[in-house]
Amino acid sequence: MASILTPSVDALVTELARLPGIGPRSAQRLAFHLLRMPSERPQALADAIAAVVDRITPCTQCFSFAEGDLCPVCADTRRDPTVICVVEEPSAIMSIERTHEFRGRYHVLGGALSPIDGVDPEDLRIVELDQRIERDGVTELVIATNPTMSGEATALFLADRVRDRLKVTRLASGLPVGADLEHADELTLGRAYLGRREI
Amino acid sequence: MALIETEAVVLRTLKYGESDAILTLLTPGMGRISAIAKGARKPTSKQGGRLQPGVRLNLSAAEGRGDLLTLRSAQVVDAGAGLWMDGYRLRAAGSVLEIAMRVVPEQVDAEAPYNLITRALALIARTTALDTPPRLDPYVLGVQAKLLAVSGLVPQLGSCAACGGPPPLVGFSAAAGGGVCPSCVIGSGAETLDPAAADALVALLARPLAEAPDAVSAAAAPGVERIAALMLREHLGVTLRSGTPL
Repeated sequence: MASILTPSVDALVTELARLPGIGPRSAQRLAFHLLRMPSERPQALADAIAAVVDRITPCTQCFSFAEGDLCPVCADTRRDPTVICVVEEPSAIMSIERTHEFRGRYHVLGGALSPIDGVDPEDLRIVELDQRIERDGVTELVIATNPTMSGEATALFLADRVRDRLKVTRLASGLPVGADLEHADELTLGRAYLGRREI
Repeated sequence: MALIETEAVVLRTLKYGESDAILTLLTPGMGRISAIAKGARKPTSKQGGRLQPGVRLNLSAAEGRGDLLTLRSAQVVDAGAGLWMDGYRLRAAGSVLEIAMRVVPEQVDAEAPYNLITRALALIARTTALDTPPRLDPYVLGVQAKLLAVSGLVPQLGSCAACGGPPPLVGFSAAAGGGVCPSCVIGSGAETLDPAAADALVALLARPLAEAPDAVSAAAAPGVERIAALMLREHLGVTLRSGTPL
């Protein structure tokens, strides 16, 4: 069936619908909203997207997002280069930064090991991590891969690889603050029990 | 909208959209099925931890217009927390789940494979941690051997698979369906057959899965894996990846 939208609006709806969490109806609603706005607002959005596409490159050290060679964290000389937190994707960095607890630097692996899906060690930035460990005299590796089977396999693989050279720690797995025990799922509660600590 | 209630093992969890997950599940009555778990990846979701690979569940799911079911609820039968204790057990569990995912068909009765997979996961979860674990886990090899049997692909190892002649068998031809004698091996493209691997495979098929560590030695294990891999590739077009050491 031919679209009743003009080609440019149709293209906008199609592109918006590619975004995560946006279905065809939401995409259409957003497109019409943009069309109703004063022209400088959608233009500012278009400019921001174009700027990101033009300027963002992977940080040459940690492979997070950067404008230029280094991302803001790697460029910050106050951050401790001897402690590296390993994450799967750049989005995890934002979550850890919001805690204001970590003062080291990051390393983005670009995924997690999953042989079943064809993701092997050589597909991740593990060699680059090895190079950073040697170059920066890293003393601790904080592994913050996701608490999933592939994230856990990646954490154990990395730990086996570097534990004779430096201290390796893993983010604790357990119960969310403020939640009731009775609402916890069995795997989370089981792992929280196995990882209990003396007080 | 029909509601399905069944026991199942989670074989794979894939991220979908903002916070959903697509599950591949093994069930006793319907073989391999897929379901979407909406909101399962939100930190506040009670389902997230229940839907990790290796977890055994009682679930209810609604049938939609396509093949994808929609998960309504899930209760844990066995969380398999022991599988997550070290890299060796995680890799072994990953291999078992991959075999199930690649070999068990969709929408068929699969009670025997289901019982085999759940038994294997339970055994791996209870394995004592070793300082120097074997490269190939005997339970994984046991699952490979027994799934060959369930799929009607037991290699012929008592006589030549090509001519029916008596042993000795010196080669292995997946195309012929088993071991081949010195006459038939010529020009057949068969691989060399390790007699210890052939004996270990027969023992794995004959003995309960729990006795797999006694049935296969570390020396015979690569040969068993090779035979299983050749049969799966030749007859089902399946190439397993997770057996490869990380």
